[in-house]
Amino acid sequence: MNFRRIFAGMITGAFVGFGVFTIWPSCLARWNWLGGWLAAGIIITTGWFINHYAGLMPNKSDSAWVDMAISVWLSALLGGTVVLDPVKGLVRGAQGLFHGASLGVTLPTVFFQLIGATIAGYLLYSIRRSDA
Amino acid sequence: MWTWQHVLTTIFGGIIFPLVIGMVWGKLVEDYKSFGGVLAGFFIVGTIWLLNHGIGLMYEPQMNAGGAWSDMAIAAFWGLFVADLFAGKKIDWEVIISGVLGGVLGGLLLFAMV
Repeated sequence: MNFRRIFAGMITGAFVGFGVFTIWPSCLARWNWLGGWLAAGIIITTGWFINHYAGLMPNKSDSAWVDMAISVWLSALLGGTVVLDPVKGLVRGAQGLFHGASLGVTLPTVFFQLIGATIAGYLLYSIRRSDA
Repeated sequence: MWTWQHVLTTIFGGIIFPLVIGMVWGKLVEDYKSFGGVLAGFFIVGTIWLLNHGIGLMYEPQMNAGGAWSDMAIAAFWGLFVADLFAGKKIDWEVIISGVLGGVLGGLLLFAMV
C-alpha cells in the first residue's frame, strides 16, 4: 500500500467524478443532446489523460484493470448532479445518497447494468483469449 | 415500473459500453497515442452516452421516485474489471481504494456545491 499513490488517485478520481456531473448536465442544458456528446470529449478526455494516460490511478499491469469510471459512478450516486443552467444559473440537477436519496429504488438499474457488464466482460475475455 | 423491454434495453446498454471500450480504446491509443484518447472520449463515450442516457437505453425510473442516478460508468468499470478476473488476473486493492475514495470525494464535492 502506497498511501501517496492512493491519495493522488483519490484527487484525480474526484476530479473526473465532479467534472462529469457538473459539465455534462450543464452542456446538456445549454446545447441539448449535442452538448451531451461534446461533454464526453471535454471531461472524459481530460479525466483519462490524468487518470490513465499519465497514470495517477495506480493500475498495475498484472492485476485487474480498475477504471476511473468507478469514481464517476460513485460520484453521482452519492452526490447527485449540479447544472449550470443558461437561464437559472447554478442549480441542483439530481439528489444523491448524501441528500438521503433511496438506494433501494436505484438497485434494479444497477443490477441490470451489472448483468450487461458481466456479459461484456466475458465476451472481452473470450475474444482476447482467441486472439492470443 | 420495470417491464421486459426495460430489462432488455438496460442490459444491452450495459453490454455495449464496456465491449466497445475494451475492443477500441486501446487500438486508438496504439494508433494515435494521446490523441487516440481524445477520439475515444468523443466517439466511444460521447456516442454511447447518447444511446444509453441521451436516448435512454438504460432505464432509470428511480429518478422520479427519490432514487439516485446510476451512471453507465458502472458498466465500464465492472465490464473491464471482470474481463481481467476471467483471465485470472489478481485484485489490486490499492487502486480499488483509490477509485472508491475518489468517488466519495467527488460525491462530497457535488453535495457541497449547491
